[in-house]
Amino acid sequence: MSMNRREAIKGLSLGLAQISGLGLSVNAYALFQERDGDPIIPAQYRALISQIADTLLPEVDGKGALAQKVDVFLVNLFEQCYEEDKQALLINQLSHLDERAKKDFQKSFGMCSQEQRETLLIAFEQSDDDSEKEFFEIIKKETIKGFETSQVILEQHYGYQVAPGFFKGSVDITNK
Amino acid sequence: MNIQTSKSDRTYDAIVIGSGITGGWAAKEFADKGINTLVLERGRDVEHQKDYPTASKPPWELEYRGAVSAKRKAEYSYVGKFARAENVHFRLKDGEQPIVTEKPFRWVRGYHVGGKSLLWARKTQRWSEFDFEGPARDGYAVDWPIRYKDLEPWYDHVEKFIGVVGNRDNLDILPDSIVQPAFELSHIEKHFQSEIMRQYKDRHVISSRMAHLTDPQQIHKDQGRYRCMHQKMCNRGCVFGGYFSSNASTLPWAAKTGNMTLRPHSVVHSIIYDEQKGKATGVRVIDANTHEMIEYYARVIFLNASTFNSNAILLNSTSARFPNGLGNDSGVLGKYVAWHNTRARVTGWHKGFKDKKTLGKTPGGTYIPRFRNVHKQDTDFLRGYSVTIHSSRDLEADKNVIGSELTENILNPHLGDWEIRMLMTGETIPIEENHVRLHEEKTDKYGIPQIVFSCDWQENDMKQLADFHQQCGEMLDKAGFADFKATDSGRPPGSDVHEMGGVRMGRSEKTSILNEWNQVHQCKNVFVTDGSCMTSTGTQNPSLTFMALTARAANYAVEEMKRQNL
Ligand SMILES: Cc1cc2nc3c(=O)[nH]c(=O)nc-3n(C[C@H](O)[C@H](O)[C@H](O)COP(=O)(O)OP(=O)(O)OC[C@H]3O[C@@H](n4cnc5c(N)ncnc54)[C@H](O)[C@@H]3O)c2cc1C
Repeated sequence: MSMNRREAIKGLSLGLAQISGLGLSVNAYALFQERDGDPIIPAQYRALISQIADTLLPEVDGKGALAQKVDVFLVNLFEQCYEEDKQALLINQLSHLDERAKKDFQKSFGMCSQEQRETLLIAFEQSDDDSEKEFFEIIKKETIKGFETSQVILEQHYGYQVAPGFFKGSVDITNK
Repeated sequence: MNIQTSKSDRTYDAIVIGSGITGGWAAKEFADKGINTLVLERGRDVEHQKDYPTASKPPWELEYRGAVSAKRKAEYSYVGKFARAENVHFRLKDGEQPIVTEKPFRWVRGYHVGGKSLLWARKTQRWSEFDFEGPARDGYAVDWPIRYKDLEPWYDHVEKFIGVVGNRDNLDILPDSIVQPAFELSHIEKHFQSEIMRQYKDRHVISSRMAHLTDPQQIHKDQGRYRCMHQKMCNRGCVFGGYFSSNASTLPWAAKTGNMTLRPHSVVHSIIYDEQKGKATGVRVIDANTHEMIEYYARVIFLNASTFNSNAILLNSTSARFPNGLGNDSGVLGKYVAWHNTRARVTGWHKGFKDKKTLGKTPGGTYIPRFRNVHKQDTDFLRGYSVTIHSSRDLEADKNVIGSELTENILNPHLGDWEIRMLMTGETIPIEENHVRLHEEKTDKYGIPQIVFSCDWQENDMKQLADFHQQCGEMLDKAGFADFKATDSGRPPGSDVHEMGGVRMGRSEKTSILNEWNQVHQCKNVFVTDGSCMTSTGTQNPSLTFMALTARAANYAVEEMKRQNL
């Protein structure tokens, strides 16, 4: 486990150096914190996670990834539930995504338009690079999960009830 | 508890080892009859309602929406992907009881007060005469020393108390239970039912019989239980007591009589055999917290630690008289272990009935009792399988896009096709080679020998599996399903969670360990009434039969105590 972490973190130095070009203050130490301590995912990456979630599920009729606080769920999930090698993959690819944005559109991901952001994410989805692909799959899967398990979506769009108290096996569909 | 207590303070009329589905029943029967009973449970206490931390919580109220933190997950590596926040606290922690798997085996355990009664899927079917007669008719294992009529009144007794939902289906292969109103079938299940019953003479599609309450009677209200609220979160513990668990039912009932003492954190090491008296006098317990050994004494001992633990405790109970384990002159202890083959699944999709959907949630489903080799041998394999069926018509959304289209799709889901999932429960044949034994050197953290598992599939299991795939495919086809997929999980024995045998019942002490009352032939005041007593495995979910055997044996033990025979 600790080997993994050390190796994974070694691989981060490049990404860090480049992301510092964003003009955000990088606290390299933040990456080295143990789980229960300070955040594993530093602030600028958290912002990036929010931006990606917002891109995948932008607000429609007042509902979307940010309105449902899916970004908060994602950060907690990645920090507390993901293994260290996957955390390193996520952080590497977040920084990589931002670099790609600067290369392709001469601005950070957060400054890109929705269309530009989608183009960037789709390039990851369709990439031949396994890490890029996996990064996209993880973040999309978990963003959808966070959205679909949120109260408003479950109750208003999926008829969710904790304790319905009944089951009807054969109901006529009237208006749908 | 102070272990300095005097011997008389540590002496009871009866000791019950284990507080799960069967131990709870032994405790209840003894307590009801005024027998001063000690229940020894290796795990922690789990109090009904109070100790169900995730009960009735919607997904958004679970930390990480049900995922388990990596730190916590590392403590449950054996449980693996089954470690979910909903009930990880009822799963086995690594290091608690390491095992040796000579051949692949997956052993699912629930070590806490209530045992696996908090994890089970609550399916309850009676055995029929076809099951009890199986070994004698088909020439495997040994003949059961009992028949259906011996157990029938005890099925009644248990069912009235736990509450079973279902219909009176009037089938010889699956005798009726005493039932409360069944869970309704879904539209597709009703369709499947009518097509199969019309097109096959030998197949019955029924609503699953399950240990739930749909119409609680006074006896259930007296237990403090309410009707099932269709939460479908049963394996977290149910605050309504809508399904049967030891925690909601037998244990609090026994406690209320004042005749039961429950001692958690008590890992039973072995049974004490007294050479002079020619019987067992008590048990040795390792306190899980202090690791001290303590002895408890009783006139009667009930072994209900779950199949493999009961095997292990007997094997570890050695003495000059029984060097190979208590009551094991025959050498069959630990052998003829069997289970259920649940590897196969067939999923089918139907394009019709687009104008129908379901509402609410069902913990139930549909069931096809065994139809192979029932009245006569009609295949090239022994015995057969039952089919457990679940179905759904779920809300779906196209998620192959991103951006506002994705948000919109998820906000506006549409109903998909009807889907039906058919799961196999195949009877495996007990053979001598399939066994458990104690490792000669390796021990666990309590100094108790580790269990070695040596269990494997047989050719018969693979033939059944192929037949299941073929027959289910045919049934779906005949019922107009457009498409189906047959799979074999390839999972090792034990994954079925219906492990049985090793301490089997039989007519002769030369070939079995227990008699017709679940008494150890050679040590009459020790009774074993969990799944380890099973001579063969049937195709039913087994726990109802374990409970009926336990209640029957406990009442017999009480009579024998009164007659001063024990
Ligand atoms: C997911 C799942 C679904 C299931 N679904 C069904 C179903 O639908 N229908 C059905 O009939 N069965 C089902 N089962 C099986 C059912 O749970 C078991 O058959 C049943 O619980 C067995 O009862 P038991 O009393 O023998 O063991 P358990 O309920 O496991 O209880 C044994 C108790 O003994 C304790 N113990 C063990 N060793 C010792 C020791 N050395 N000293 C002291 N205490 C000890 C344990 O901690 C435990 O509390 C399912 C099981 C699982 C895991």
